[in-house]
Amino acid sequence: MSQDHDRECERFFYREAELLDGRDLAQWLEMLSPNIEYRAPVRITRSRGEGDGFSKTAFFFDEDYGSLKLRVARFASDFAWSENPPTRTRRLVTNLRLDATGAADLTRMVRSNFAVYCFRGDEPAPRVLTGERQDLLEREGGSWKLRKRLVLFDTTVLGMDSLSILL
Amino acid sequence: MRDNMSYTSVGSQTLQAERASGPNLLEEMKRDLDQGLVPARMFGDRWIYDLELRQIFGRAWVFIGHESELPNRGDFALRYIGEDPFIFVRDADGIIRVLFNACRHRGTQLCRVERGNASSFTCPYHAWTYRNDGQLIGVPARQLGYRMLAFSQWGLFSAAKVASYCGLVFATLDPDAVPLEDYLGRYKWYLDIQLKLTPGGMEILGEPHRWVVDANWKQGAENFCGDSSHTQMTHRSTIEFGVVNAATAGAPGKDYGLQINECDGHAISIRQQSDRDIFWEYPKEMTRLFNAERLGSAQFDLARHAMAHVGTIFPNFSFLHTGLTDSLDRPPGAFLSIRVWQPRGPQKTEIWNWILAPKEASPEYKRRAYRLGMSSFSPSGSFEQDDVTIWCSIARTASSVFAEMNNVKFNYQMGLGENFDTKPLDDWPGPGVAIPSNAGEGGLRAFHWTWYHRMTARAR
Repeated sequence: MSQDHDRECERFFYREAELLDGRDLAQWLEMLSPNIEYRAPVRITRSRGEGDGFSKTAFFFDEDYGSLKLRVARFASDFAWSENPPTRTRRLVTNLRLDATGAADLTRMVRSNFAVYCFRGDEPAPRVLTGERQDLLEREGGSWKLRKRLVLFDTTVLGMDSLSILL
Repeated sequence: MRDNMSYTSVGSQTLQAERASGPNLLEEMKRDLDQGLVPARMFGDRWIYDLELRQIFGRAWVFIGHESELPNRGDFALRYIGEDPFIFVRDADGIIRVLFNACRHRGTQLCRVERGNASSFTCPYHAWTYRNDGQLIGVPARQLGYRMLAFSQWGLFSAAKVASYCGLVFATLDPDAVPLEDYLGRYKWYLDIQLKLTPGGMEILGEPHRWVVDANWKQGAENFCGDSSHTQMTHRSTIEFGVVNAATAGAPGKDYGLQINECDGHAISIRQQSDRDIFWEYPKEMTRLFNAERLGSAQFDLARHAMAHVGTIFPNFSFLHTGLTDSLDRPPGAFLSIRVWQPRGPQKTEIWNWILAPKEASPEYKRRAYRLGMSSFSPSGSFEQDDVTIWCSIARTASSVFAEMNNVKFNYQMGLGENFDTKPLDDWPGPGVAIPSNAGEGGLRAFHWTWYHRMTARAR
């Protein structure tokens, strides 16, 4: 039973990556809980012993369902220039660490590593974003939904001209 | 040269290339600016860039950070003037300093993190140690090797002058620079409107966003001077999908857009509606806290009618005060964004973006203001993304051989001379010249005039 659940959770992440790389953003929204909390804190370099440097107050993303919905809607515009032509992405989601058990198998905490390769226009070299995601999946009506996501970038200064993609 | 290519025909392409080189670019610039032209190469030329680092960033007042980022003594952050690293620190006596991040011994960088708190800085190389006001307080083997070293002469270098205005800390490397208040000049009248709405003023909400874009620093700086006409096209997706309303975004041909320049080298553009109280779309819980205590009544009236205030303090500090929404489930709200377009090369800029709210705002509103700013003006911002993507493409033009060989000039003629019949307001209550139209690039021309004067000023 728990192995099946593990596999279901893994499939969730691969399906999610597939939808995002395929820019099926409307379908991706359906994988989110209506109570989604989606955050990517700003990070700064700190001395050893002073923590990982993730901000409690500054974010690249601090979203709920409504704000993600508006992001997705705007990207459908031909006039969303940063994504017209669209960025071609390749998400690699690896090192999935599923927690041992969730309460009555209704929730799972999952940590994963990600690498997103972003190709724009005729630039041969991609920009790459890597980091860890800490997610909370919730079971809703027979399927998993993303209830919380915390995106922890490895970088402090972003080496991309914008974050016009979702992580 | 063929006439139908619409540029000045003056001879061989080699001559053109010489003329488009850095020094000649400057020579021609006055004539260009008089005609509303700006040479393409100024957004990509290495010689020009290197001169900017000295003539502009080496001499002007440059934004370092906000006082509220250093709440405690010993708090420090690593910041930059031009491309040079400085330690922005509140020393043990509470004084804010901007110290060159280099050990006086042999140049090691002392501050190797982005932020922290320290009563002293010790060099990892030979352990020279400095108090957080820059004073040298320790060297290794002092009695054996440094018996005659005069400690008072070997403290950390400091920016020549450091000063703050309403919490905004600026520094200059020019000991002969005019005081900050004079540098800001009459433009303070517009800054005050953004920063003095409440007794406590504005405070920073969190660490800045930092990201590197492949564009020249002047793209952002000039745009925020008053590029009112770009919002309709660049940001069309935000208008179409209800992030912002068209009036706030600056629809041309309507009555509520103003561009103000000839204000001591700085510029601002305003969108407003005089028939109602808007206050940039701050909700009542916030506007209740606003009063005219620290502002004149004319300034407070502008705040009352404000939909958007966008400006640049020369050279590379800009701000945006406006209202919009991040979700169609929520009404619009307001935020203040301040940013630095930090030069990182002729075609590289590191953008630093801070979001502010009034000190007295509730924690809930501060979070809301933050999210509104982040959703629109940040690396993931619905507006910012489209600005940057366009500016990066300009960099390619600016560095092209074609632009060099043909001495290409860009057209900044909107609203210039005979292109325009809107007269400046003669009853404008604020400083500078106020032109009641969105159909102009006067603020951008003003930016380039300021740039030209500073670039051609006698070198130090």
